[in-house]
Amino acid sequence: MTGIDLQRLTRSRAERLQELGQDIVNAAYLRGDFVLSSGVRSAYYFDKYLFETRPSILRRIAGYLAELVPPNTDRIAGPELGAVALAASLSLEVGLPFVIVKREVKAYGTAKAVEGELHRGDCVVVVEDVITTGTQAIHAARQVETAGAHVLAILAVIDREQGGTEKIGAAGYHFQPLFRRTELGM
Amino acid sequence: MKDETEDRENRELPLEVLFSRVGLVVSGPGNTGAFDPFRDPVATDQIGRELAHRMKVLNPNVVCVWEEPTDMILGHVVARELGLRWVRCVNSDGLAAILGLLPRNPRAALVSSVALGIQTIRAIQNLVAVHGGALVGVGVLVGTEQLDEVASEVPAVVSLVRSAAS
Repeated sequence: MTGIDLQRLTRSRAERLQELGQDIVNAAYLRGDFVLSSGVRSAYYFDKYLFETRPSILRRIAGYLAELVPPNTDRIAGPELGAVALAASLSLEVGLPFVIVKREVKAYGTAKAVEGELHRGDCVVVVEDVITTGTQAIHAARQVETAGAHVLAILAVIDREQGGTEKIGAAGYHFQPLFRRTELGM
Repeated sequence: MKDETEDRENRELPLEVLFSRVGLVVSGPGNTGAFDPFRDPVATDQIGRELAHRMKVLNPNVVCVWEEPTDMILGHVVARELGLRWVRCVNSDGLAAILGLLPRNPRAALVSSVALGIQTIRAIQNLVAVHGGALVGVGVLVGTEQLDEVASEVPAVVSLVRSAAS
């Protein structure tokens, strides 16, 4: 016995990605009667914290998201709170700095919409955890642009396929999720 | 300390004057300003009383507000005047939730200083529906075009004044 899972090593990229999707579902898919902040009533909810707080999942997500980061990217942006762990792990994976986009700008403290170092003209990739209607992701992208940077793309882990793709596209952003809900067997 | 005479005089002031005391501008074009109840608690109280008076027709049994601390103050005044409890609806990392206790078969009236977006209105409607009730109407300080857009989604909309900008 070598202790090495040869079968796993020889799996294709598609198989490994599918396995990651299944691990995310197992960790974070909750059934119930939920009302999302987007206004949608849903019989299920992806509890992002349940997959973002598992290093074995987070590391693999970062690896696949890194493949989607354009080569001319200067910085990663993660909207608070859920996507901060994603942004940090992706930042480590690609070796680029990241910023945190505040959900709302406070009139006190630093009063900043974007925390961290962001320069005018920076090319930024916004990373989100779960996309429903896309409103929050678009808001984050707008905040980055207001700070003078360019948004190259919005990346996400899961697209719930409830209008987010269309809305983000209509807002003028390139959008790419790792998984769409139907791909996860939902 | 203000005496009763001054309080009475405040109650007789036009709404536009009371509004200006809490940061709202409704007489000119453009931005209506931001509701700041901390600037003048007496004016805030009077505005809240007036809104409550106009919201009686909705016959709610609970008042709800969305997130904003300033709207919590307004919601408190309205609920007090209507003799109701009030709850706060929040966005908790993507999930909408109610903080506070809803009555049985809630007939909720949403109180807001500004017109909320349709997604927020739907979230509140669905939150109340999950508890077996319904949103019976929305009370806002300033009627705007944004409010017109959501008006068809709710049974009734009450506003104290109409923005000149809309």
